[in-house]
Amino acid sequence: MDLGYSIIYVIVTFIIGGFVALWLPGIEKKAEARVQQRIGPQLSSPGVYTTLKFFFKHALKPTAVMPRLYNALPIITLIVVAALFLILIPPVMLSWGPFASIVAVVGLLKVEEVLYLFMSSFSQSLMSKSMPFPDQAKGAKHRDAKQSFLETISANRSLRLISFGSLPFYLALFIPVIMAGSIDLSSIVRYQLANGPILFTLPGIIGTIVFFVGFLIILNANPFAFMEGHSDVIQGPIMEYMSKSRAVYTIAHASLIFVGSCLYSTLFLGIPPAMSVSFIVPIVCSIIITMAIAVTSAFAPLFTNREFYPTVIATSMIAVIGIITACLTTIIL
Amino acid sequence: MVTKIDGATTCNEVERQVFETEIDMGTVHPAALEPYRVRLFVEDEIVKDAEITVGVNHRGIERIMEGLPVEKANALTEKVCGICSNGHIFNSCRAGEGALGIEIPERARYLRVLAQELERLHSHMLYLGHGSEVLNHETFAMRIFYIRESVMELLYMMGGNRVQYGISVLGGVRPRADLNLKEQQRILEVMDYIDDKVAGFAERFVNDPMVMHRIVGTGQLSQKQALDLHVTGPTLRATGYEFDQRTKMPEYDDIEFDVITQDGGDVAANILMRATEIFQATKIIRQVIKNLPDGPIVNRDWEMVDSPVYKSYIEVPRGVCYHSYGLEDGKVRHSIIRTPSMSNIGAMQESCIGHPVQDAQLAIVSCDPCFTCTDRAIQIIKL
Repeated sequence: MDLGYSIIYVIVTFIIGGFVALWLPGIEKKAEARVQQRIGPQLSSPGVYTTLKFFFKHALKPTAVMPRLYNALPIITLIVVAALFLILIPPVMLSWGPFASIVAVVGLLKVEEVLYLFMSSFSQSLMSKSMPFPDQAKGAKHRDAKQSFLETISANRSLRLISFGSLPFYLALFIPVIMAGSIDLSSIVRYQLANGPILFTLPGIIGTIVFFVGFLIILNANPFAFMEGHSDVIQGPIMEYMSKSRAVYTIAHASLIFVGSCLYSTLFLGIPPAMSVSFIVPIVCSIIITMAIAVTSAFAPLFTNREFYPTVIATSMIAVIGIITACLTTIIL
Repeated sequence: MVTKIDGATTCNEVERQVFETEIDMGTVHPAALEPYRVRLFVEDEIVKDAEITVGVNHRGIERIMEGLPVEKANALTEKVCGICSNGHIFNSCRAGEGALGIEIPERARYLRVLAQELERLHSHMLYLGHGSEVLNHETFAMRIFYIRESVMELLYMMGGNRVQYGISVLGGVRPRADLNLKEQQRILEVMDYIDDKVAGFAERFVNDPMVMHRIVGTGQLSQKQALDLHVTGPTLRATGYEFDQRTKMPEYDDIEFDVITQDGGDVAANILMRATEIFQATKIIRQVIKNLPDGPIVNRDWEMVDSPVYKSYIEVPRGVCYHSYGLEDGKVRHSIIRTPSMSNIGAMQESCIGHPVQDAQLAIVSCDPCFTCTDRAIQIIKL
């Protein structure tokens, strides 16, 4: 495969991927609305038109510690997500060798998680401390307490997600690795071409369940949306984004849903996002996962620590069972 | 970490705690339906103390009422609250009628009870919907709002409006609020629909393990705390204390209903309390329709006279509401309104304590706040 063809291949795949990704928020909102017996928005509204609208909105300087860096973080997030997508495309997967491995996937997703921590730490929205209210003149029960921004809570929660919250997701990624006996994505795909999709094995089924729960945590989707919890921190780290930076964030978030689905398709079905008819499989996966996210979101309340810790522990234990099962399957076969 | 400062550094020699962080929400915050400020003193995301401040929505309605003829003043009281608007005009009419010695027709008395119970229905459903939203469970919120819509249609049918119905007037009810047989039948049909749908909703709600895990034990208030804080209404009854002002109102003398109580005083008890009261409200409405007497709906035979301060207490959806009038030649010389949320603010503060920041709004909402109508000029007299 020559270089020119590979470049065109990657560009076309990116265009198709980007086009599909922007429709996913609409599918999510529509599915959630139908569960709630509402008509819901137009399919194009939450993803495509919202992004376009944001691009043409008037921008103000965000209230943040380092406004320029804060505004740049969505772009960095988008680059990280794009890099993740890039290593899933077959020509890159085959030629980049060690970079196109599960270690790179974990690394890039961890970077994406850390960016949320930065966003939360920088943002200083009007919602709490900055609200013009004569607290100081009025006094309080406890006068010496240090006032804190709501985003500080988001930062704490983000740190919690980085340290252990997303563990089930990463454990699920290692089930295909054990089955294929390699960390290279191309080897995992080849293994499935020879032996059939991992999804149709017991470890694959366990891995799928854990992958989904872990993916909800990575996406900060309900019921794990406490970084953007509607009962306290509201939008949390992304509160101060407006205009172009919010548009880029919307694209990055939508892309993450699509790229996560492509990752699932690659690891558990052995079908990466390729410029061929087989691209339909990752696209269908992304639609199914998006609808599953919508249904979960519609039927679950927001979790607090009381629910979050047991869920993470239980899901991690299931993932460990999946890993053990994968090991046993490999030994027996 | 809690640092204790001994009495030497404080003014009144009371031990004072210094908390690491203060998190403020509001006065404008999307999770709050109304403008109020809550200051949470937290440690590791656990609320150690809370302080709620109101006062940004004061409109001075009582002051505007002064000097107005009592009929016009009554119309203003409806603007006190958007949720229990009927409760306020009902109570101010009661106060005005008591002050002027007006007898109201029996049919009007029944229609007022009917409007009041319809308002209780929509208010309790709004509570369930708002609570579900704060839980971030949009589906439950949407379902209950869908059911609530049928009550809003009945209120529109009766008063010609969805929020400010203007049903009660001095001496009875407005002619618009009188019900013909077809309308009465429609109300009975909607009551059957509500009983059926709310029972289904409540069953799903209590059988949802994730929701119940979130609300059981959250925002707990003991009965002693509730009584110490002079909590009122369903929030008090959710702690197991049986008190309902309706049992003392002559309007409800001919009507049978149970005073519902729940044990626990937590969010779950509060939610179940309101859900169960919905069935009592439909029961009352059925009795009103069944026993609705014929006859006039308003008594116009009265005169504007002087009157000393006359007090009236009724049970609105959030608890006991107080109105008083002092009249001079039929014009308002003195007026005081006290809404139930005024008594319940202490409960809202207390119920936040010991729970995560995420549950603070839920604990506040579980006490069914209505801060905008609580924003009245008050004078605290320390005895």
